[in-house]
Amino acid sequence: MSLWLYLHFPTLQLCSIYQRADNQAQPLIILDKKSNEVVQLNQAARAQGITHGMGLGTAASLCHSVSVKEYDEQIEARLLKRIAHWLYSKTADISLYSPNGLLLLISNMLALYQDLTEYWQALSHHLDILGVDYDYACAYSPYGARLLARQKLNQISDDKAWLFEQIKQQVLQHGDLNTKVVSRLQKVGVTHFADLLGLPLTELSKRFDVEVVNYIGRITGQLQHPINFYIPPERFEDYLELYFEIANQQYLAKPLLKQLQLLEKYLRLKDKLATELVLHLHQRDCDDVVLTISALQGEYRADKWLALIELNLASQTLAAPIIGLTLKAKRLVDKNNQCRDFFLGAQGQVSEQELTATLIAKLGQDRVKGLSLKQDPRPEVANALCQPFSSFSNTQHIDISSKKLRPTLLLPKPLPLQESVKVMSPPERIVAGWWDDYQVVRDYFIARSDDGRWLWLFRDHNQQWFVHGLFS
Amino acid sequence: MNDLLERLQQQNLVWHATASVGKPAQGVFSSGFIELDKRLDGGFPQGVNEIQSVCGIGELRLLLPVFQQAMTEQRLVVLINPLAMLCSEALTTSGLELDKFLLVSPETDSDALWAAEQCLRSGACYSLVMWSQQPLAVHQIKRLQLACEAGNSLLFILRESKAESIALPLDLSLSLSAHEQGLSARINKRKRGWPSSSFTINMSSDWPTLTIARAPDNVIEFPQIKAG
Repeated sequence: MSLWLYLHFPTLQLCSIYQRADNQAQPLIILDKKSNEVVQLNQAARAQGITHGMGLGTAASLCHSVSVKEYDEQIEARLLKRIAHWLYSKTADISLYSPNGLLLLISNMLALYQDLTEYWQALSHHLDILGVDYDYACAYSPYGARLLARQKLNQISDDKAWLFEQIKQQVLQHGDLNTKVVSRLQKVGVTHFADLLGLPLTELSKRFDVEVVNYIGRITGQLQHPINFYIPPERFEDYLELYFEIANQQYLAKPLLKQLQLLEKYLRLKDKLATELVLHLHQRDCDDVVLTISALQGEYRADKWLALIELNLASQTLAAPIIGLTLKAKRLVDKNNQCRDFFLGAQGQVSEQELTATLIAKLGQDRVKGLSLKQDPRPEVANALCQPFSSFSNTQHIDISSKKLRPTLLLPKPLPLQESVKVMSPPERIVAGWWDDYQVVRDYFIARSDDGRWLWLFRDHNQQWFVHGLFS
Repeated sequence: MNDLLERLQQQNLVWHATASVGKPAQGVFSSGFIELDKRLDGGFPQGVNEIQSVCGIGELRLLLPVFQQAMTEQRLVVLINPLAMLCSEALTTSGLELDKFLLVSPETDSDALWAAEQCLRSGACYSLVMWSQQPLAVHQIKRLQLACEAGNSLLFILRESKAESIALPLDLSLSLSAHEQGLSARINKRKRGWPSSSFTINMSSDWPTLTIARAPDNVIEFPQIKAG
């Protein structure tokens, strides 16, 4: 049986709202609109006498200056993902229990850490950086860990008997059993897990449906519990909701720094540099302002990024106060792309493909091209542009004997000859294209203009002279 | 003051006009033409090289040996904003691999400079040729030089207009004009060296068709009057 750890975040939305330390005194509650109950509250609100489950009216009468935010499950789910992403560097198997729980599989991780205490120290230390409140518990089944964590056991142990004892003490309602089943069980006098687990399974399966038996199997860890594990995205993305609206750009620096420090830690763990950040400033009742900040050489330090962002912000005018910030790291590059040659010193080491990808990303696909060569006598057909690195590279294939002198630069469209030239070569006749719609009947000459330029001319079947290339 | 000068001398950052010429310096890329290599003490310097020339006299052919060097090192040649389309046939005939060429045509000048810096810095690019008519600012040249240093690469800026002011910190500024045996070149400015008077770069062995054979000494032109 494997050991599981469950982390329960009771005040996730509250913790995510950016609050300044000196502003802590301001009472803040999060209200569930449907049930009109206080679901989360900060220390200041608690000091005023507000408690969980209180209605808005009662809370407001206790403290008139309380600020109220609406509970939003989606915000919590998003934050939960962020926490999972954050923890991923310390522990591998994470499962999301939306909106406010994380399940971690510990057994596999203990190979990397000395023992459970050390693992928990590393994990909790890492988690504390985020500054969220959490309750935790472990058990030998996902259901068991979840049950104990939600009941704020807050103890780490791998003692199987003791953990089982803890589960037995819990009331059935707190588990994940269907409420209908729970009330049916209560009617026959089964209120605690101890009662339920004491019953023989065969008896239970006769009177209750298979769901109960399955549940018992899973909470005792005897039945396999399928879990979908979290796979982290490759990108850094962080959303920060502001506690108060910001209308002055200078006040943005503090919350921005908080996000950038997260980015810095993320990049350091991955040993990468970001070359481009995208910052969304969410404005009240207005469209988001999107800023793209790039640092060519790549950067991970928060203070450097902050300086760059502040430069960018200085040229922005805001239409409305800002209520939230989203920071995304768009392009990550490897940190050690500089290698030192003994003789030549530092040298960049970006592959051709990487360089081309960078150019295409910024300039667009149609602005970066490679050269290609087709087997065709018509110069404008033979010499065409193509996607980079897709040309037919085998040059041996081209017949050496047909190596004719060709100009280095070819005009995209032949231009009428408008200067006096001296023809320096015998004609080269090209008559081709009778097989498709582009027929060419031309006599090509090499000529030198009066000012010394070497031109590639042709005379068409109407005896018109055109310049087609330059021996540049 | 003296202390500072001494320190700079030790770091090889001070060039003496009396210093012996002809010693090939570090970071020099052979041009493939004997006359030019001799004048430049070994070849094109690493960094920003400006070539001022009329289009069509052979300024790109002058750079083909540099491109060939890029092929042996298996590195890219990037061309930014060429005046016309590059002819693949001519390049393959000169023994160049088409896969090693990249054509970039950015919309704006600032994009062109950005692309140039990216390519030069990357190390994947051996040489970059940029056709530009816009004058460069001092800080832009400095940035490009740093990028060349980081990527051990070579930048050529081809322009048709008059050469830029010699006050700019270019590594080399070269003026080309047409000549019957190839090109006539003049060094306007170079780092660690003097400007030169014009000299001839002979291309008659590489491009016999595109040069006019020198008339033998013993031929006397038939007088026009007697030609009737």
